[in-house]
Amino acid sequence: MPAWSEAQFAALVGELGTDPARRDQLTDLLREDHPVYEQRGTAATIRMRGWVLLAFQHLGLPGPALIYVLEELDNGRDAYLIAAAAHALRGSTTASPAMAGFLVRAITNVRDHDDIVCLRNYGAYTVDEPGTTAVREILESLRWLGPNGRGVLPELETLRENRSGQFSKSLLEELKNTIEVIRSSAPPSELQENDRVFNGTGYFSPAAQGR
Amino acid sequence: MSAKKSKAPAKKQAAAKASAGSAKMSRSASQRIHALSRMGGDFCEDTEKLQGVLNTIKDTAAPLPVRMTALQTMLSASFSAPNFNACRPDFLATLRSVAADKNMQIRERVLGILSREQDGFAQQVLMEGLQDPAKALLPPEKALQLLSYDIHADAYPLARKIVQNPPNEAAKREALRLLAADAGSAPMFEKLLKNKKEAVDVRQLSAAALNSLAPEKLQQHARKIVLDKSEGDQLKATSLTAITHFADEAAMAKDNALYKGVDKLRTAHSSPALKRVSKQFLAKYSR
Amino acid sequence: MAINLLINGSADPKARYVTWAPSPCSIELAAGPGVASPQAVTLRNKPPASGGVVVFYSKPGAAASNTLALTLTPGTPVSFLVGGKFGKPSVADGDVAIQVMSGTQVLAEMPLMVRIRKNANTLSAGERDRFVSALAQLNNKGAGRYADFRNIHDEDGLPEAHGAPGFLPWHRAFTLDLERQLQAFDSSVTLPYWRFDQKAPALFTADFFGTSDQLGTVHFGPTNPLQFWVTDGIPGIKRRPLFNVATAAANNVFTEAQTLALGNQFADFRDLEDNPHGYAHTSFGGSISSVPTAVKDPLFFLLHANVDRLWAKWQKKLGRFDPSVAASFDSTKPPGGNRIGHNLPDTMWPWNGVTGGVRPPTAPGGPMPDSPSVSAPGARPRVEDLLDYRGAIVAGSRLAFDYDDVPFA
Repeated sequence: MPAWSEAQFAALVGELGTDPARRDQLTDLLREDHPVYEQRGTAATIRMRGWVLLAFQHLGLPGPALIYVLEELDNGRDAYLIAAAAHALRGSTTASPAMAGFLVRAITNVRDHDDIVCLRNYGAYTVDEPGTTAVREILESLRWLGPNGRGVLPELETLRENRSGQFSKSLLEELKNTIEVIRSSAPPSELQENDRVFNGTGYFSPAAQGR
Repeated sequence: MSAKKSKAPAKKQAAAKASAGSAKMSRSASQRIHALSRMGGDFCEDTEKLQGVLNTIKDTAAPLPVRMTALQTMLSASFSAPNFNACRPDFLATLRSVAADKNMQIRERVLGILSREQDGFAQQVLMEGLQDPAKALLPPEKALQLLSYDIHADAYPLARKIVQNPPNEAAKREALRLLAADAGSAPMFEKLLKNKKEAVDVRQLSAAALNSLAPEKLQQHARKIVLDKSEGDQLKATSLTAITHFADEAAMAKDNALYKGVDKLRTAHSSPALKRVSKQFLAKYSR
Repeated sequence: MAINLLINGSADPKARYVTWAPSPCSIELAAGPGVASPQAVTLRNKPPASGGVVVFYSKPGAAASNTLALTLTPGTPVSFLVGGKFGKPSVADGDVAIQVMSGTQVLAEMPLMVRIRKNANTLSAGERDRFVSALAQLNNKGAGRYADFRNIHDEDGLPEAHGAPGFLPWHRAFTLDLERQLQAFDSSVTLPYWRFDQKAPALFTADFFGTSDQLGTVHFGPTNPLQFWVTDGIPGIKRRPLFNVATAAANNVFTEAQTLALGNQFADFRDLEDNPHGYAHTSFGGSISSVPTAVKDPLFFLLHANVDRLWAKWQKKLGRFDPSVAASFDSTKPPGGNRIGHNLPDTMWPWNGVTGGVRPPTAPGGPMPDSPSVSAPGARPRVEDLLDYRGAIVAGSRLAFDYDDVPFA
């Protein structure tokens, strides 16, 4: 039997999620081989990992945790985890064009098995709570990226054609709105000296590199 | 989204007209069932029609056959609708909302659908019901059966407890079936198979489990059972079927003792089933 | 006197299987001492007819005949065709034989089989047992190639096969793939069909596809190898009929007549995907009723054999074998065109091995298996390769299957 109950785990995450000094411990809980996931079923592991991801949205998303978020968007198949990852991404202090590619890939990964998920309380399912969906969370993150999403506008337009019929009318409206938000957002101003940009593997300072 | 047809045949126009009022309470149940079963797979494109079907599922005042047909309509659309994935989130949410319905048939159908999606909510409520019968939405044997759709549902510890202390025989059998995917349970199945005091159907179930988990062990025990005069015909027939279809053919071709033993079964006062599988074995390994 | 007889253009015994559609054959008289030239022979069915019966054609388009007179010159092969006589399928391998006669003398004899897909409810005990045996071997306690079929038809693969014009051709290829793999174990086996618009008491029995208890656990007799069925590491089949299988049809399904009346254009006929196809699936609780688990229950293939039979019947009724005829396929396109895999020239996943992008992430199973009898549809079939399944338009398009109630002529 696992050493921790899910309720105990959720309480720990809640505690770590309010303390910026313990961000590293929170990030460590995202390791797939962390002992806290031993002898856990798939559904329980999803609930637990999703809750850790969600904790970063308010705490702020450090670089090491960002790697897990992007990996989930790139390869994940579960609607709850992808929704949590997209939600957590908005905890980053800096937006980057590279993030948009991961978000679009996540739409492709999840669109055939999206689900209404509840991100408000630990382990909640949308019986008594209102919910969101993985694709909606991704679209919200794309809107958050604003001008940094311009590089994926062609892919978003292709998705909007909806050839495979995966999107409902309301979701298509939201996709259309997202495209408009990205298009109409002001282009990024010239990078300031201390600006740091995520290039897919790490942060670098373009200004320091003379770009 | 599929535009499909330039003009709808008369049948489809009638179906569209009939389905438009499917949510109206004044219609008879049979009319509603007729309308629901002729909606066609593309109703997911129409928000109003879709909500009508989902509301019918949730409508506890609607006759049960109507609600079950509405469920069938949605499920059927999942096989055929070009844009079913667009309404899948709403469908799953609707299913979760009626998982605790007062009608057992609805609960069983809905939790079955969710379990086949390996839905975490369904697994959670089923396991809670096994741990606390006061919370059970389904009988334990049904809950165990549905949990077995996902070998990663973490139901093995519960299933082992139920095998040790079953609330009824059906629950014990379903717990054993669930554990048949657990490599760690192979020794338990071997013990059950060898136990001549165990019920025949449990021993047969154990043979099937062992054939998957430890096929060489099953072949050894199956051979012993076939040659053991004290064993009954039913278990002998199961064992010989396993040997005939899944054994190492080269080893069987050389096993003269087994061949002679099976030949005796063919001519002895064996059951028709045992004689039949004996003939199959002898034909396959004819000398 | 040596006579070489080739069935389906091959000396391979595994090619000695014919359907209603004529199969190309040839006969050659070997040169040698005492061999008269020319030699008049007659081809006939070996009497007495105990199972299948064949008919002969002197050339493509000729009328069928119970016997065929030929003149043979040593060393020169003579072509002819042979097909099953409609209504007289074989019940066992080799239960029909072609005899080459010179007067009353039998010069040569070759057993073959009129191998036809039949109603599962009317199979003989032998046919039934051979089929379940081959199926159980394909599953091999979960370790066999059946796992590929199970992995193909899941949520990732759903758009490749459903909700668009390619539904029928894709499932024709899917069932053909399975049938060829069963024939690798036993060449005499074909895929039977479940007529879901009729009762099927002989199908849902302990010796065949099992009886369901109240829970939906399927029980098999002690001699039935399907009792060892495993998918996803889990033994057993879960199937809970929501109708009485012994006395009734599946719930709310269209009858055959209603299905055939869906329309004369493929664009209308393919509505059968919803009803009766979808309704047949969902007349059960259990694996077959949900897309991600449907193939865990092998009844899936008998259900789809019937869907395919309905298409075959519709094709025969209206002459819809030619892909170049608009009514044979759905030529209406939504904006942006049909999804890839649903247009006539498209290759079909998973047999094309294409993954990623709009295709699923993996392609289980590999290319379409060969057949010893025919070369179609090829390793990577296109949608259009599945329409002319009996070679009505192009002889080389034959796929080597036919249905017991869909005549050739």
